Amino acid sequence: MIGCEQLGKRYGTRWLFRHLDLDLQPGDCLLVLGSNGAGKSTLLKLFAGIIPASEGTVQRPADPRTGIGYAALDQSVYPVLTVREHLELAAELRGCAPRADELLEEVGLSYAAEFPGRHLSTGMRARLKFALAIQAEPPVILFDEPGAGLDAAGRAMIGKVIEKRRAKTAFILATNDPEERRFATHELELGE
Amino acid sequence: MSSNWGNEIRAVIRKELCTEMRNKSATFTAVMLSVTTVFTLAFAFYGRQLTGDGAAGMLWAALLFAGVGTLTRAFIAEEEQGTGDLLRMWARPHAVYWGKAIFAFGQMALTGFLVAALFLLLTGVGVATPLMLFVSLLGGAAALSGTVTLVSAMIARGSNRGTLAGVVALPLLLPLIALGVTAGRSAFEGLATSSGWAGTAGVWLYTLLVFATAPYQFAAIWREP
Repeated sequence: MIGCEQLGKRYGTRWLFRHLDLDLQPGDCLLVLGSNGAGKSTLLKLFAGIIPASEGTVQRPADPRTGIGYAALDQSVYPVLTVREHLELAAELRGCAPRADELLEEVGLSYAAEFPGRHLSTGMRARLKFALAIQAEPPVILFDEPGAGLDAAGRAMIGKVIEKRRAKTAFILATNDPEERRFATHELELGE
Repeated sequence: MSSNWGNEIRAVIRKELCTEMRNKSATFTAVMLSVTTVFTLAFAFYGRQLTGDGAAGMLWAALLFAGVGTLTRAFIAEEEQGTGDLLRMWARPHAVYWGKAIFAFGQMALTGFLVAALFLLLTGVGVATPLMLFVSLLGGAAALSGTVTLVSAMIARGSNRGTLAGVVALPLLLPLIALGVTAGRSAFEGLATSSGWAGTAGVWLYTLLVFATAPYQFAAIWREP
């Protein structure tokens, strides 16, 4: 479903990681741990196809637009588009149904459907990014620091999102939050 | 709902249009740059008789100034606001390129014809073959938008983008400038023979070349960090 062989990434002469082999199937949840700068976010970006690998190969679903959902702390949203317009735009580009009302209810953002991106708080933006990541019900979901910026209700929402899909989805979570260990079936420590 | 190129390209255009309608920055900047350039040229040549060569050169200088000054923002804005990764995740590279380039063409055509109308009005220069001027400007706007969209993607993640924009754009735009000025000279001076139309045909051939190759170059650089 998603994996890699001999994967490596370097910036300049510094290798973040090398010789990484992974193979994840539905039901797996890989927790990627490591200190700041260890390469957790970079690894998720490689799996998402946003950046290229320095060496090795990544196996990912044939159409990453509907095969991979990705939400990251450092990801932005369009300041002038409303929450609903984000979901409509993503759906049109991916070729899936927008499911705006259903998704916004699931992530607890129904009240902000017509808010423009620039008026969203950090937590609201995180919820919108979760909605966008799960929109196409992809078989692979990548969450980078999923709990960051969220209140207790938000973190509970993430738990529900993961539990609802875990039987048919492979998750990769990059985190420093020990609370998120409860989801993990595998762990990978970077920077060792 | 199934994914197809038409839907994807339309979605990118609609996103660009929606963004532009709500903050109006690029269009406003393009119009201000163009109008300022045309007024400057008109003042500089006030009371003098412009030749076809001079008129064509000045008109293209104004078009380039507006085009390169504003259209290079296409991808820089995405990277600056951190939304480039959203497009990388959601859309295929060719759809992103075509959506951005078609929107840029609309913007460039609008600005180009406004600049041309203002230029003709203020300088009082006559156009012997208006159809040739119209066709060459239309082709020029298309080629400019296609080229500058690619340049914008090439420089968006670099540092010192202003310098980089000029350095990357210059070799790509020089052939277009030469062809555009040749076409403009023929239009102003009335060389509506087959050799007169050669410049206009050259502009359109350059446009075809841009749109046949730029989407592939764009796809190759779109995912590079």
